[in-house]
Amino acid sequence: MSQVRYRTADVDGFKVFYREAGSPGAPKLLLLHGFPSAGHMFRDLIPLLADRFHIVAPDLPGFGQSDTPPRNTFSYTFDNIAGVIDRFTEVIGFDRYAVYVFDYGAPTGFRLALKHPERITAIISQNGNAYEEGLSDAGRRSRPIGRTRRRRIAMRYAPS
Amino acid sequence: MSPDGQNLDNYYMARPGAHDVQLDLFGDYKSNVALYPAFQNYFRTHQPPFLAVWGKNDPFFLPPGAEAFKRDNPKAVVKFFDTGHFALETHAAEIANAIREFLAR
Repeated sequence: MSQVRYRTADVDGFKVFYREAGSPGAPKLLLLHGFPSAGHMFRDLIPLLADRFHIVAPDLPGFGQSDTPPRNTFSYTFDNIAGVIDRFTEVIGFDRYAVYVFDYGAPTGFRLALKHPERITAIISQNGNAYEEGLSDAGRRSRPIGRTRRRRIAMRYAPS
Repeated sequence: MSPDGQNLDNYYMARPGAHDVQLDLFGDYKSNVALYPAFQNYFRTHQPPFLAVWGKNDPFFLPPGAEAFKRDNPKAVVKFFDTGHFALETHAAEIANAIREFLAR
């Protein structure tokens, strides 16, 4: 079942779009994307793992095709993003799961682990930071700047 | 490298209101750094099976941040790849192999 399904979940009235692949009985793996992306960043990875895992990759609130309510009705904080994703896992029946975290997915996924350590079977961190020594000066400075410059900096370091 | 990921990122980020959302999140990023000690305490206390797969040329999140997981979680496995922040854009196959190998243990 390596075919990817594209779905939406109703999370207490909040629409969360997600990609899903693999058999529902297989070990569960939650993929949490980063800035400035969405679940599509996992488009190459998902088919490579779908024979072994039941994979779900949601778009975080405010990203991709999930709901992006106006700022006066939803406060865009990492606590609130994690709160929606936490409820999302419950709505789709992810009771125990491994979590892959990248960039913004890390502070989201680590919050889930803090709240429900018993639900987390493993953590895979792909450039998902939790230590001061992992923060570069560029990283600290780049947070308030736009995606174009950040992307330009990132691509400068990527292989051609 | 495939242009698809970056182009779709840019499309989503160019939508009306997207910049306001992102500025709010930039402003809240300090809440994540404030939680680092709590995250580290969780790693220490619960010792979750942990794999770090890290683009070593990431200008934002540096390799010492990957190595640091082993301080609180000595069994953590840390693998570096010769790529940047968006490591899946270039190394999806290698990262998939690392995950399969790690979770099969």
